[in-house]
Amino acid sequence: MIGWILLAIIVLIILRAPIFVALGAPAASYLWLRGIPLELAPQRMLGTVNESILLAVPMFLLAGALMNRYGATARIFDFAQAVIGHVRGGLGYVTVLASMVFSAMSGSAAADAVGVGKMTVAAMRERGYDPNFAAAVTLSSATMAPVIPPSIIMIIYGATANVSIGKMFLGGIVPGLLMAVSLMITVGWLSARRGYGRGEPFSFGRVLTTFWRASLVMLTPVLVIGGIFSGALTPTEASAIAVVYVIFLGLVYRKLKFSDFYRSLVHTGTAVGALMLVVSVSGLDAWVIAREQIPMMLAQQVTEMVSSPTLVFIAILLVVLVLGLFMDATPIILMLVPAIAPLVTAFGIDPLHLGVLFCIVCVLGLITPPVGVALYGVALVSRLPMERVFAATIPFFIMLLVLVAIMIAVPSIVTWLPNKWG
Amino acid sequence: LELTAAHVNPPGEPSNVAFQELAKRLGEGTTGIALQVFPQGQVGGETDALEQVRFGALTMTTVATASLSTFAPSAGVYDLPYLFRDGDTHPWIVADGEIGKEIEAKIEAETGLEVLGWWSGGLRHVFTRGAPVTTPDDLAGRKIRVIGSQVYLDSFNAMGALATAMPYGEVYTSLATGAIDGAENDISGYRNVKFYEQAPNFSLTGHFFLYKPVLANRSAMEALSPEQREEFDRIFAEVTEMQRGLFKANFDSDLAYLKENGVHVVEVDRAAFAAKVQPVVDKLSETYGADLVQRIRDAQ
Amino acid sequence: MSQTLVKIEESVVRLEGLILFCTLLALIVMLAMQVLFRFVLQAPLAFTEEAGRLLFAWLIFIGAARALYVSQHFMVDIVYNHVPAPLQKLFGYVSDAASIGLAVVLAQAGFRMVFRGGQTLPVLGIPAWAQTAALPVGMTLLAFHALCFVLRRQHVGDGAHPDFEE
Ligand code: NA
Ligand code: NA
Repeated sequence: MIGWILLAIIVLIILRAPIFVALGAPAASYLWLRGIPLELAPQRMLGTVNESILLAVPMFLLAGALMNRYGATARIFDFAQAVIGHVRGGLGYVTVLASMVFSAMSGSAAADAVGVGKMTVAAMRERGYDPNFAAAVTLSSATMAPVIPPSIIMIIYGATANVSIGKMFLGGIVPGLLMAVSLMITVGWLSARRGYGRGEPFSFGRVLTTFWRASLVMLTPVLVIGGIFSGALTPTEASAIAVVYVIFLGLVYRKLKFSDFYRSLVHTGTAVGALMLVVSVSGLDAWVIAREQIPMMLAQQVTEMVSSPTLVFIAILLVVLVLGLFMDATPIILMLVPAIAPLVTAFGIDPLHLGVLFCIVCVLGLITPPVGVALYGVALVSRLPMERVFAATIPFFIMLLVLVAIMIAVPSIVTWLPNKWG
Repeated sequence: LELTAAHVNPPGEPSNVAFQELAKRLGEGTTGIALQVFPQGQVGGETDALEQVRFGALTMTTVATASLSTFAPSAGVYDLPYLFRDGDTHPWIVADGEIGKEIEAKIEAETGLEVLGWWSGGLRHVFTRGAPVTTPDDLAGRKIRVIGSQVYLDSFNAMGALATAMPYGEVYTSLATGAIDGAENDISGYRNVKFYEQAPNFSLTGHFFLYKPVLANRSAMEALSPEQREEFDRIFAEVTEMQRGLFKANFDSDLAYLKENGVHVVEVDRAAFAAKVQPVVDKLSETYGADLVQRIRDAQ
Repeated sequence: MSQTLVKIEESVVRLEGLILFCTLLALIVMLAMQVLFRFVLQAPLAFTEEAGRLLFAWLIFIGAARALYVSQHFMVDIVYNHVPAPLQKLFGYVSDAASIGLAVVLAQAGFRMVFRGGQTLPVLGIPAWAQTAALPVGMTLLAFHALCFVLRRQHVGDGAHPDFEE
């Protein structure tokens, strides 16, 4: 049965059916064929998005939209261009850096992807960058958000797998920084290979003037991160405070017109509808996958084939990678972790090492089609076709996979910091 | 014949163990009943699962009375603060006795579901970062996260705390940053979700006792033949006994574990806290009937 | 497509826009108030978390309906763009039928769920259908927009509307 569903999903995607239809229609047919009441479909769809943590997505999307409208984004990127524009592919590095800063403000890759992407892709395009490249850098660096703390999926993982969440947070820091480094290496390599041009030569005066113009805007992350770590704000609230601050900037810059404001909210609401409907329907698919016990079966079959701890470790991550094609991170954790728990104990695998890498590989699933909320988020804000965004992301994706392989081989990259400080 | 069950509890939690055991014993039974269990919220949260049971996508689930009362207002009487003398005897005298049957009948009428039995969610306690809570005064002006239920909010405000509603997924981070000063949960949740890492003071306030009623879809249960139903009921009764016992036994082992891990366990004078929530109890007694509340209290 | 229907669809879209504006604005205000009351005034509000989820449901499903009108839903047109015109027509009909069919099924099942009722939102103390009705209402509007594509002799997803980018 599950094979037919997969086939139907792929056929519908090829026929150019909207993704939510391609994911939803086969699942609804499954319910009907299995004699399961169809009310389950709206129940699961509503239940999946009945999470106030997801509110960060519309908020960051709106903050980005307003910043673009007021030219606030332009102020940041003029400054960034002044600092690093003389370097080939300079704004690519800026995007990775921006995502890293953003990672400390949010726990979700989707919020990072739309929040950063809303600004970076348009700004890079205006400054002569290949929009596909811009989208790819944004998408791949959004994967840092749930790796660098705070991280929602690490909380879920820790609670499900009985691993210290505090240690997982610490365990994400070094891998998160290494992700930034490897993405920057890829930016440099691609820029050189494709012969991307350089901006104007460096001028200290320009750095100063653009810095002054951008200073109020650059206070946004300072306020938000400060707000979270001082205990004033939860990460979800922080996203709304970012919006309030951006509205305040609009008043300061005297650019806030009601008609523009109205339009920004309507268009953001529309974009949220397109993005979250896919998330919502994927929750229905997750129910079907759970009903058919697919993750447990996969885990059992794959791990039966191997017998050394390292191979079991790799096999588990491969299962995560495959499930990540079709599922969001949270349902993967909820379904797979109980299934692999006995193996982890039996083979003496370090639960912290596995946990952090499990989460990273889960996050890689958020940037792959056909179910990938970050991928859709970037496609949405960049106005590029989803398949083109993913194709452009492949070099970065491979780089991240290589990094995962290195972290499998060298556990201390993950475990050193938590064991020292935890 | 395949039945399905869903719950939100992690491995090691008594309801999780109980459902596993139920599935195992039914599988070993002689009347051919199979039970497929979806643990840890794989198919949705408590109210989601309850709704799925209502329209027949699942056979059964167990939820906290706080979740059940969003469907069955009558269940709310069990959520009165300090209603029970203890967490392991008094609740069963009530639930298994005359009063329990009355309330059960009301719940069944309100939801259209069958109540299979009453499991334990244990007593709930307060935990804090910073200073421990020993008296109600220690709660004054401190932000305590409670589950989004009116009686929980009212009770904590009455104790002098600033009751704060917040999604469960943000509680850990908020305890770490100090966005909240504490929260409340049963000991098993406190241990499993690692709240003790950020809020190492565990005060045994026991402000609520939480039942975990097991509810089933009526027509799905009616599909069982009389022999199957008889076997199901027998095994279910055994498992219920086990679940309740497990909750009691786990409390001691959890407490020992937490102490080993640096948790400061605080004994409190529960009467002082109970006095503070009396206005809430009085108000709710009007809703549910002062007579009923008194009968629950007096049950021996 | 008849002029009346065009007019009706335009008013529906304007109404959707108004709902989206109000919901999103209310969400910002609500989250900001949540911070103000908890952190600044030290008097946390109980209802904002639940009300936030209620508004979010409406934002999503009304937004999804409007997104269909402006062709903002995700689709992969890489194969579609490279097949001959008659085959494109066939592709279009199949995906139109699937879209309308799914939306109608979801709307119907959603309304059944709403009318069964029985659940209340614990903190607000109002019936849960205030939140769950967002799905069937949104899906009905979405099906309506999809049908309008067909009546305009177009296919769902044709001609991305210019208005959506900020
Ligand atoms: Na983060
Ligand atoms: Na994916």
